[in-house]
Amino acid sequence: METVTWRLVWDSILQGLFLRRAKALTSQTISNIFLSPPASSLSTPPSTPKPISDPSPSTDFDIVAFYNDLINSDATMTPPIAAIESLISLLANTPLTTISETLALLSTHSSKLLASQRNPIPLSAGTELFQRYLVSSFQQRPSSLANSDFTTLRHHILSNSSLFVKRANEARPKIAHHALPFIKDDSTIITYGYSRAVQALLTHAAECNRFFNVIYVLPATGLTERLAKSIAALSELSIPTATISLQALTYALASLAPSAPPPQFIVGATAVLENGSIVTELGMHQLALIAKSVSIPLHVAVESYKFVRNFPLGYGPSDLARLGVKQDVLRFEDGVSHSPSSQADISSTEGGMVEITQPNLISALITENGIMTPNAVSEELIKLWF
Amino acid sequence: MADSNSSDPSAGGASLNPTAASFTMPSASDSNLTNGHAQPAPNGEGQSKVTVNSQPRTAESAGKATDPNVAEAGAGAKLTGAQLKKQKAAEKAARRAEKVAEKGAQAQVPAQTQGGPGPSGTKVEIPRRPSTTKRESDSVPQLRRTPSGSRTLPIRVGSQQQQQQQTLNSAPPEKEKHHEPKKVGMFSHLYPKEKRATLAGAGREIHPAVLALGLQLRDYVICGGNARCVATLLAFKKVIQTYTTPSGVALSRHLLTHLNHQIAYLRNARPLSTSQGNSIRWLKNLISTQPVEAADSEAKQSLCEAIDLYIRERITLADEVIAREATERIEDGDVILTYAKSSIVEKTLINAHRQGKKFKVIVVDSRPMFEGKNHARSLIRAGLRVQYALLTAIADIVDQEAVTKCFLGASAMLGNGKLLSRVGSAMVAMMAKECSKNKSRNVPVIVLCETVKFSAKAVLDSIILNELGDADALVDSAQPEVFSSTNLSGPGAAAAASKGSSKKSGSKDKDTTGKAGSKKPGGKDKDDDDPDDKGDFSNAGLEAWQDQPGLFLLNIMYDVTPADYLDLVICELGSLPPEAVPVVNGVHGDDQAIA
Repeated sequence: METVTWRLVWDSILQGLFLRRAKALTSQTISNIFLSPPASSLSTPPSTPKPISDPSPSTDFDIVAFYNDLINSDATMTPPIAAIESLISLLANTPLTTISETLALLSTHSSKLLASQRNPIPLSAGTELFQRYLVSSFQQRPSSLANSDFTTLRHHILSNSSLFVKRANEARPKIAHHALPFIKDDSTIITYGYSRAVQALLTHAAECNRFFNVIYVLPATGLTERLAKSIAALSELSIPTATISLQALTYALASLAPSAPPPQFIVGATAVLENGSIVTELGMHQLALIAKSVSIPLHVAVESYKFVRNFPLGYGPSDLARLGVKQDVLRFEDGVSHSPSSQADISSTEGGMVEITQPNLISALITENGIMTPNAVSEELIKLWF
Repeated sequence: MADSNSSDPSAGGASLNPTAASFTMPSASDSNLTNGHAQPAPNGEGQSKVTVNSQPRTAESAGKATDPNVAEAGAGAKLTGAQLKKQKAAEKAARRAEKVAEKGAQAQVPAQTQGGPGPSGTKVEIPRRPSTTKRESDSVPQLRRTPSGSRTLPIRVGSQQQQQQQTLNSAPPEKEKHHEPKKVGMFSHLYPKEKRATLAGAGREIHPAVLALGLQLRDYVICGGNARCVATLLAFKKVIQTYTTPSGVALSRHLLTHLNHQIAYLRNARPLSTSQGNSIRWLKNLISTQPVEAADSEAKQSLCEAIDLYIRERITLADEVIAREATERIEDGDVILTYAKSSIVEKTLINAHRQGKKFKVIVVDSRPMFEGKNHARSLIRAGLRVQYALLTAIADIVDQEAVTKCFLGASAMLGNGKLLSRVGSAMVAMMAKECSKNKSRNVPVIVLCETVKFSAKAVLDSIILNELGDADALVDSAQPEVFSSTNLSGPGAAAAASKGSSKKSGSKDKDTTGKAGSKKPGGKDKDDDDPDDKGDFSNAGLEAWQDQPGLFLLNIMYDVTPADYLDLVICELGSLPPEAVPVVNGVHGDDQAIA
């Protein structure tokens, strides 16, 4: 299933290229990307280019293990960036001689990496972005490299790739900077679960001597270690914090002092889809609905490399399945064959689950490129891709 | 009254041409027949005819005039020589009688003119007839009038009415001809300013391929955004191939003006669609950037190749990509709602069916074009399960059939994310959205549209950018043929179809169209009986809409669907929300570059 999806994604990249080729490419060195040579493609009857079907070059590099090491070793590392790092080191470790080979290698290993993950959506943002970046850097390579052989070109791309990761890591401070005007003194900020971007944002605001309260709404996984750490970090900056469960949210909102500045939700997301929906752990949709019904703005702090070029039509299991996530919340039991699942069982299974929150519930996205409405996500993606 | 009625058919038949009517009119009444036939005869006979005609009247008026004459004569006889005076009196009486006769004739004509506004028409026709008698004496005007006046004398009462009626019957169509066709005020800007393109009206510089295309476009033989765009480009390719640059001008300059003539002709045949507009703009831009120093043949060659490539990339390939992407959105068990006909929707559905997906299609259609029939036909041929219904049944369809997705084609995607498509699409999209919302379902409305159809224009309503079809198409009362798939809903669709048609016609007309059709001959007779009675037009059905005051027919071709009712636009660049259309325009460049 997933291989098929990624074939199609990859295919669409090529498709995009193919359509742009007429004006964008001088098709000399690029021609081996395409199956059909451009000269003959003019005279052949119209047909779509087939996905690359040749077997990818073999390598003994284990991309899944590398990725897992990376995620576990560095707490600030987000999945998309880790995926990109993995792909870069894959390229560095595999000596290849043609562009076609490189792209095929990347495509197969991306699919392998994605298949290994339970929630591949954030990773897919990274792998797609890198593949896209690679293709465009082949196209728009500096003129000094126009006629050089592939080895120098490859070296150039690899050195630029690390720059790519570095730039991506600068996103969070920028988000914190953009979000600062939103945080008023004496206001209350409600957040859900753990997010590096939100953490950076709150820390930055506290360092800028804003005074505000933070309410942490706990997800099904409860108070995890890194969540406890971030609460402690805020307390050190003398920011008052409270932790409540999702069930207590509406009562907590009613308990806020009416004279205080209006509260706001600032949450993170693991991925943003093309229509502006966000992918988060379970519970966010409920929270967003509550926010909407009591007219409290919901802001999503997210890095723009988490944007995924995939358009869901709703927020149900079929939409998640299109994204490569298979999960099942509903398990009807008749009480005869099985004993009812215990509370601990539920929280452990639902802990890793994700859901889609629709864009009409989101007030704004705070990204390193500025504040944008959910509608603007597709615009950003088109700019990135074409 | 009765005899005037009997003479009417001839008048009615001739009413189209008032001048002709006056010639055929005399044939109805025998006494005038001689006049009518004597009329082209030489002068002598004409004069004799005048005298003959004036005789009865001179006798009549002389009867009145002679009494004072006799008295005068008697008095004169007492004073002077009786013979001389008698002679004089006789001469005088004769002169007077002549004058009176003339006056009488003149008086009679005004009497007729007062009868109705028509005689202005008869006056116009009169000067034509005596063209043969032009060499008559200075009394020609009188002579001209007398025949017409005298001609009606024998059956004065009847003929006067007859003529009156003739003018009434013949005048309105004449007026219609002079007047513009009835316009609906709000849409008056959409009515064609010049006459629609014809073969005869085309200029010398119009290429035969363009001529043919123009007629095909005008008559909706080539219909649909993609077909029109491709056909236009191919026609222009032929124009370019046969084109030779005159000496002393650059191809990039002269070919443009040459093409402009062709474009003007096409636009006259039917307003250009967005896809045509975009591709023409692209072509013009390409031509204007041809290097001046390039040889004619080279430039033509490169232009033709570019056109081929454009068609392939922007339409053929784009369609394949869109169909493939849209097919992925179709899942087993889907019930897909679609409206009218779109080549790309058809392609997608058939594509999905070939991939073995199990789904049902509901084709919604509407008067007057019934494009959905073709759509349903080709889907059935491909083996899909199809249900066909009319737009009027849309609420029921969306409610009862558990529609899961709605696919729409496009004429254009506008800069503010709205969809310009066949009229009725907005209704389908709205019903799909609103009905599903009430049932806490989510029916996504998906638009399939190539980027060729993306427009930078932002439109708020369906009035500004639209096109008018033939209003008479709405009049056609033929019962729609009923369509049904093999196993599905034969009677259901039939009921829906008949319900729809009767509803629709009922809304426009008090009588159902069927009734009006059967009544038609009777209604016409009645009209002729009492032409003054305006209320009688109401029995004629929509056919008489041109004559019926206060009745306007409007046949618009497109409507605008708000972006709120659209979820997804699938173009060859991928899936986009409708709001992203201007971004694609900006990225794709060639639409806005020259706009």
